[in-house]
Amino acid sequence: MTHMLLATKLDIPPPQPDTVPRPGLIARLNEGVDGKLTLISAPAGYGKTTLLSEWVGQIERPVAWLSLDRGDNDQTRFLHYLVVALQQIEPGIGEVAMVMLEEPSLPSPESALTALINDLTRLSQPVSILLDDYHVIEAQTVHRTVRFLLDHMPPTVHLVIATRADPPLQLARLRAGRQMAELREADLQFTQQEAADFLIRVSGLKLSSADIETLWNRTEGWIASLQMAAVSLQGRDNISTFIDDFSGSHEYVVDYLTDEVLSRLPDELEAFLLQTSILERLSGPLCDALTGQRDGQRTLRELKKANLFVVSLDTRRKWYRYHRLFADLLQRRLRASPAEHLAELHQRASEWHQEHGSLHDAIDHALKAESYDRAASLLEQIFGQAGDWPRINASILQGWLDALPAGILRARPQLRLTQARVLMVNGDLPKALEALDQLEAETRSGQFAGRDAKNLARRIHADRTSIAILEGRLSLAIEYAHQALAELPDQDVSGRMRQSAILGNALFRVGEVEQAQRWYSQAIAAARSLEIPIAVATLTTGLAQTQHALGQLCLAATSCERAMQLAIVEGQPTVAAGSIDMTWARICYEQNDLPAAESKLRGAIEQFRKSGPLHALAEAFAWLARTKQALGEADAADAAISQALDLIEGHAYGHLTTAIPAHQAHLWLARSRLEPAIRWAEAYRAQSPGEFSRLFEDLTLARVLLARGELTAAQALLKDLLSLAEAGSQRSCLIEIRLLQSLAYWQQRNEAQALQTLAQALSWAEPEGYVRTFIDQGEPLADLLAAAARKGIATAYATQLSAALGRAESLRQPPALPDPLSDRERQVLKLLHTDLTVPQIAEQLIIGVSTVRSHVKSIYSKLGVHSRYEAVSRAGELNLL
Amino acid sequence: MNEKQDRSQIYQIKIQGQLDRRWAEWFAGASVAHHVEEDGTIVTTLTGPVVDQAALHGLLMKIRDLNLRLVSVVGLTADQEGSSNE
Repeated sequence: MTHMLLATKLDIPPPQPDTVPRPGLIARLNEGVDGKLTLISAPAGYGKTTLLSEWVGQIERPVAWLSLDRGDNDQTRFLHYLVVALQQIEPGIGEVAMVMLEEPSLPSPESALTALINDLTRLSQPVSILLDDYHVIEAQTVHRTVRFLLDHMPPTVHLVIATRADPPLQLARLRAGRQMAELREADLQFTQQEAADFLIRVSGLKLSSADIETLWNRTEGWIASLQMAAVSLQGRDNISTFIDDFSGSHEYVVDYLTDEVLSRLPDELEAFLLQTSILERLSGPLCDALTGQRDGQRTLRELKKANLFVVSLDTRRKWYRYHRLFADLLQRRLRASPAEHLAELHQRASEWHQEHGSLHDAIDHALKAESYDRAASLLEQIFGQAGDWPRINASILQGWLDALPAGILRARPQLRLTQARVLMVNGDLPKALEALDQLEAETRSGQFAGRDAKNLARRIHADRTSIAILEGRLSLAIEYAHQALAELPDQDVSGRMRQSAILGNALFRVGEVEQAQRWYSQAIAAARSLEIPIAVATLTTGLAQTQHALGQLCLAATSCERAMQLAIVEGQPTVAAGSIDMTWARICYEQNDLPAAESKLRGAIEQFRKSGPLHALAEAFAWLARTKQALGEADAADAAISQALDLIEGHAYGHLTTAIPAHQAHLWLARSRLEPAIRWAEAYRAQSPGEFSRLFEDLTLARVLLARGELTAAQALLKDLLSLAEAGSQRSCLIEIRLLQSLAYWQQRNEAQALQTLAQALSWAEPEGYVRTFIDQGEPLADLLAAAARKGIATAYATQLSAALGRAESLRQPPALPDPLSDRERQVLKLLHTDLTVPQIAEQLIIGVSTVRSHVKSIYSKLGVHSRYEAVSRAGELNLL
Repeated sequence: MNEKQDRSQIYQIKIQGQLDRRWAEWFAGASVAHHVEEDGTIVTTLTGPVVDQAALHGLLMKIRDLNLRLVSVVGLTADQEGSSNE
């Protein structure tokens, strides 16, 4: 997105020399920062921007300035620029939000906004956010975004909005709550004194106070018209005549004055103004291209000096724009003028912009010149330049594509492909598929012969596959990939590499691990022959994941090591390093090397924060949560899992949508908090399965069933999972399945079976160093391991695991209660965890009912709870039961 | 087969001040008339066809952007149309 960023949107307009000081207004703006919103709402020409740039210049507080334009009606783009504007004053802010926004398949930018607001709460100093020209915003989504921001931003943040029309931001509520400061037309109008200062001191006119009063009345303090009046008056001998005529006329002020001003200008200057009025931004060379003269730069400087409605956009005095009112009036006169040809001027502007690399502007002008073929070619260039998917926002693209006549678009397959992509990004998958089908049919029937039809067919196919994966239709994606491979010539090594990679990924996701591994190996070989180390690194990561799934932890770790060597280029980790770190971290976690796991996960998070993809960041946070839990840091674990859940909220991220809540269930199980785990299990069971393999989630479900004591159900589930895992050769899962079966048998008092299945799990696990799959089961495993050791089953390993389990359990030991429970209280507490009523508890413990009651009161107080349910829950967390 | 109805309606937009005929340019097909109100101020009435609501709002935005004072916006029925043409 960066190369398309318009820096001028973020620039604070340079202070204009020689303005009328307005200390009263500045003071009100300064006071306003204590509230939530300062609104400056007045029509064009009241000096809003001038006032604000002066205000920013004198205030100590950092201000993030964003000048809005119509393109910001796209919520994603609006948020993007908002984050960038904030980054100008606080460099580290909004990184997670940025990752979310740059994800092409993002359907709901709200999560990015939440992430941004979270970052805002950690600001070290108060800031203001300034949105100029808010009236260009019409999209409800953006209004909602700003309302959300107003409602949820921390007190350190203050918003300034400059607009020509009151925005729909629940102003009445803000006014009533005194959270808003306002400057309106009546405030911004020049007072008679200010008018006098402007006319006499700033414009150097010699006027009587009667003259000033007349002019002020006629213009009603409207600054823009006073400016024009001043220009009209300069160098004029017959001031009183002018003022009389002016005040006597009823004509619309600006029309009258514009005619006045223009009529007094030399012809070439008038022509200059009219011709260049079509430009959004003006520079000397650009103006020359339109006028055919060579004095553009000089003319602009003179206009600026003479205060003739040209505003400088940068401090280097290279770029200007016309004051908006004036540009509109000029354009109207231009259209009425027979000598000028609008289309011709736009054409010249388009050509100039093209030559100077500003394709956006070139396209806009080409469209205005109705030079559609040219516009279409320029559009094609944009995509050629930036690769397969440039990050231009979809609504701008759509706008351009809509402006092209149907005939032109139809004949350009590249653009139609783009159209399909835009539809995809907007989540309109059926329409996207329709467009692709249409395009493919035409390609097949030879419509685009001689236009690299083969390439086109391949790209259509690739897009179809992406859509299939987005829709979660993995088997379809696999089918497409096979098709593509069948049609690719052997020499197209890079094409074959790409399709093999797609196959490897899709097959892995459906649980066909061995097949996935074969395809990854092929892709790696291709990447090697093409000598693309980054691709080798990324593909090797995929390979490592299959090796982990196949139960080959040591091999997987070696793969990660090799991949990492390729992923570090000139001492800097590349994008590939993130995935490698995460894959490796999971291996370290399994082998119980928790510090290594944590450090690698942090590395992955840092990388994913910078470059995305969003779903990988979510997964990294989930594993960080598990690692933190294993380290006994429950709060950190909770923070991490919240991050992960926030990131996937509202998105359909295939396997992550179910996987991350399952990780959270693991956290609860680790804390013996059965109720939320059960709630998760129920919600999970109600979900219908997609095509993604859900072995992980199903195993989590099995654990919950075991914890609840639903042994029959658990065994039944485990039996099903066993066949699934065996079919896919998923040794890692098989180890856990056997382990869980063993625990179930143990609880069913079937010692023989329990030890037999455990033996199998241990035999697979020992050579590869599996630890956490075992010790994450917690205390219930302790007896089983002890029995195994006694019976001589993998004694050394079992003992080692027992020791690790013991250490892990001790980490779970909660901080001692400040006021510990007495033994009697602990007894009562244990009974509170049953169905017994208080009288029954009294009977059981052979004490009086009122004694029980006072114990209960004491227990509540010591645990900091107010109900039996809470007491039991809290006791569970504190491991007191 | 249904015909797309021509939903354009005639609108009469009254603006404070005196605007000349050039203003009809962005309000295509409009006629421009001037009246003196009771209080002596001059208003300009632009009367012309507007295709739909979006077009109407576009016109109103233009008026806003030029800081013209809007007095009234009235949609005319067929018979009213005749009487307000110049």
